[in-house]
Amino acid sequence: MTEYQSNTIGLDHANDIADDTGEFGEVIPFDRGTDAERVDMVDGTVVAVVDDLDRTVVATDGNADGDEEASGEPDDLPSSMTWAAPDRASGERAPVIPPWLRSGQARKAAARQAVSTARYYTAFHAVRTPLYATKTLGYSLVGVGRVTGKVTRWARAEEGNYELRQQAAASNDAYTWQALNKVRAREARGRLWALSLAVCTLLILATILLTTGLLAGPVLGVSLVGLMLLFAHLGRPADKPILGRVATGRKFTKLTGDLVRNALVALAVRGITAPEQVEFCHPGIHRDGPGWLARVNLPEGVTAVKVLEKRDALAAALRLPVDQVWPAAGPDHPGQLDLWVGYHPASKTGQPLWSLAGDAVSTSFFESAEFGTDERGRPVETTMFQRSYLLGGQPGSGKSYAARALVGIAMLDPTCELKICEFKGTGDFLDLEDLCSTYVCGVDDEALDQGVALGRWLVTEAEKRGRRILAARKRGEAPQGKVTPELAAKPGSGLHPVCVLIDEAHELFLYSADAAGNIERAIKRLRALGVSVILATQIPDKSSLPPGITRCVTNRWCLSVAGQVENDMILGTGAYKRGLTGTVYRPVFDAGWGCMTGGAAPVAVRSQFPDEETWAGMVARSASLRGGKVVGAPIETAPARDLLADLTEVAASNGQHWDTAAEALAETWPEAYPHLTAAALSDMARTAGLASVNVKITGEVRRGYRRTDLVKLRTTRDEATPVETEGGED
Amino acid sequence: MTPLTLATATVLVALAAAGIYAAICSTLPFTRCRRCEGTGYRTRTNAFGRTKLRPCRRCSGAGTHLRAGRRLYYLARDIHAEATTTVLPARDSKPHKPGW
Repeated sequence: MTEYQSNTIGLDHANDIADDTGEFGEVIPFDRGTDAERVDMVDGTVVAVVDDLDRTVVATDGNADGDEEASGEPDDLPSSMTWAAPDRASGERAPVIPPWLRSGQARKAAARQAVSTARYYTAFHAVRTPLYATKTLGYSLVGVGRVTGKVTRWARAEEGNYELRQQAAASNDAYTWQALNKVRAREARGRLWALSLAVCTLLILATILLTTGLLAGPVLGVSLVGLMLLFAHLGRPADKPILGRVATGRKFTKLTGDLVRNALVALAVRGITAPEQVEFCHPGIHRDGPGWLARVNLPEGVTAVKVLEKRDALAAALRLPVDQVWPAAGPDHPGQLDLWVGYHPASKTGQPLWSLAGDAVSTSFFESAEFGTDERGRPVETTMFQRSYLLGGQPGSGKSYAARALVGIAMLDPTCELKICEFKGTGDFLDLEDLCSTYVCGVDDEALDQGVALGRWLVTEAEKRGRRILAARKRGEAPQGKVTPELAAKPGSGLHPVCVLIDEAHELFLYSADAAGNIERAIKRLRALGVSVILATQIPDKSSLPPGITRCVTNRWCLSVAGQVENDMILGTGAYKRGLTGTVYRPVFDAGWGCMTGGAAPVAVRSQFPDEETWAGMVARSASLRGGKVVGAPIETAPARDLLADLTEVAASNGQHWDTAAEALAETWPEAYPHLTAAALSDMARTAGLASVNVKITGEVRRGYRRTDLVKLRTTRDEATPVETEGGED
Repeated sequence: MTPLTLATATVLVALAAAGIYAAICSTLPFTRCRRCEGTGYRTRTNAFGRTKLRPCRRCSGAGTHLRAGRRLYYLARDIHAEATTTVLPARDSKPHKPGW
């Protein structure tokens, strides 16, 4: 395993050195403020801005903010800078003359940096000279001893039958010992002669040199020091370097063929028995983004999934952290494995700039946009249209920020309506309040009731939109029975895109089973109708997240979770065993990392995490794109209706059957009671304290409620809380 | 010569001597038997004045024997091995069968 100090491809050596010098030279690898791949700084002064291989911009004033213009990138281009060196990624060629040698300023900057580095190194080691001298002396004594011992053993030919002789002595067998010793002595005779000759020659030479004065003064000193260094090298333990480490920089591992083959064999996957069985595909192991890509064909009959299951073991075999090793199925056939090994663990690398964070970028609900990056720093994109999202993860896994990245896409589409419910109550999305037609924040009953109302709104919206699409289809405007961008953009069509985010959704689902049912139905029906639902939850179990919802959500994003059970609850049964797991990520440290299914293939995604300033800029841009107006209208809070009062309205003289009452309610107040069934009504009434009994009305006896019970209940309630106007709920 | 230097010198000399003796023990484990002077046999005169050869009892007729240092080393090694090695009871190779 060869280790290198970290460096970026093709950059000048001065920068390499600067990498090591953590104390005086600072390398900022991915400055979000600038558009550069790295900015080299010395003593707080920017000396060089490296945009890519072809351009090195030398800062004149040491002002990093001014470099965006200086980098020469057109402003209207979305800056989708990636880790990948462009020459490797897009087939361009590296420049013949390195960029840092082209301009005089860059040359000077490089030279300055080199000189400064050299000065630092010299001072660093000079201070430690006494320590080094002591160490060298001690180790050289050990070295002399080792060399003497080795030479003696060789000259005495001890190695030949040493064990046999010891065995003979141990068994007190003098004759055998003598016979063996005779063999040794015969072998040693020549060697002893050679040794004594060599020693004599050396002594004579030394005497001649000393007496003639050739070996005097500095020459003698230098040769003695050289000898001492040689012996110190021989006597030094392998893990104790004499020189101190100047910088404990990050290291990266060069992936080699042997390493890959041996690691794959070490997995003990059935079928991979010998290293030679693993074939490398063209072009072999190569750099791909900030790491190495090895595309291999596994032996016949072994599928890549078998290896993916053992990612931990693979990382262990490569002696790397798990988040540095990213096996994936190859593109050609199921037995092909793409093993990507980063230079650094993914949790320690920076993240490329979000393409949506650039100036004047807007998105469309119907087109894909970036919301995160994968382990190689490549953007991961998704479309809001026809998709719904489920985000799950333990506290600290970065759910809210992952949801924020998705909302960022919707936000920058000026036609998209935003409805955000956040049941954590800490105002995670408070900055988006002005953009939202509905913004709910809190965990109290009021907020949760609004959530329930949102569920109801979604169902009625699905009804309405279904009818509109039907009409549009008849007119020939919706050929597939789906919302099209043209239809959505048409003013007054009522088919504008909507993005609904429910953070900490379990709070709502535990509060009201009704809301859960409504949202499940809405997710199923609204997929093609231009409404995208994003659910984020930390408790993905059956009671707090109905399995129906988990099943019908298109994209599931499993952030850091504690174990296999939670993982499979989010990603589906068997996901963990297929190697799709969020358990490898640590909460807080790997916040935002997760495994997302629903795209072409499951991917490891790290959500974009813009800093506050960038995010504020994006929100401001969104507001300006919308012309300062809010798209869509707030939900009329329908639960202003009093269930008991309404039940009294629709009751006959002695009471009413549930089914008749449900029909009557749904007909009279369709906004408040959409799709009310007899069972649901009975359930709601029971919650309110109204008993379900057999009632006889117009000669038929069915389940229903008695008017007397209702009146009694209303009287007691009015006496208890005379000001309360809320109906239904206790 | 103060007593301290004397003691130091003695200790150093003893250490050096011990080292040399250890080296000799390691490279030449056997030494000539002094009882039989390396011949391996001894003469014995009986009551009638006749001499008879018999093997040397000290070296069992070999003429050489292990040096004391080497013997001491083996003794120590055996004691150590015995104290630190766990001997597992031999497992029955055949399953037990009733003996009729």
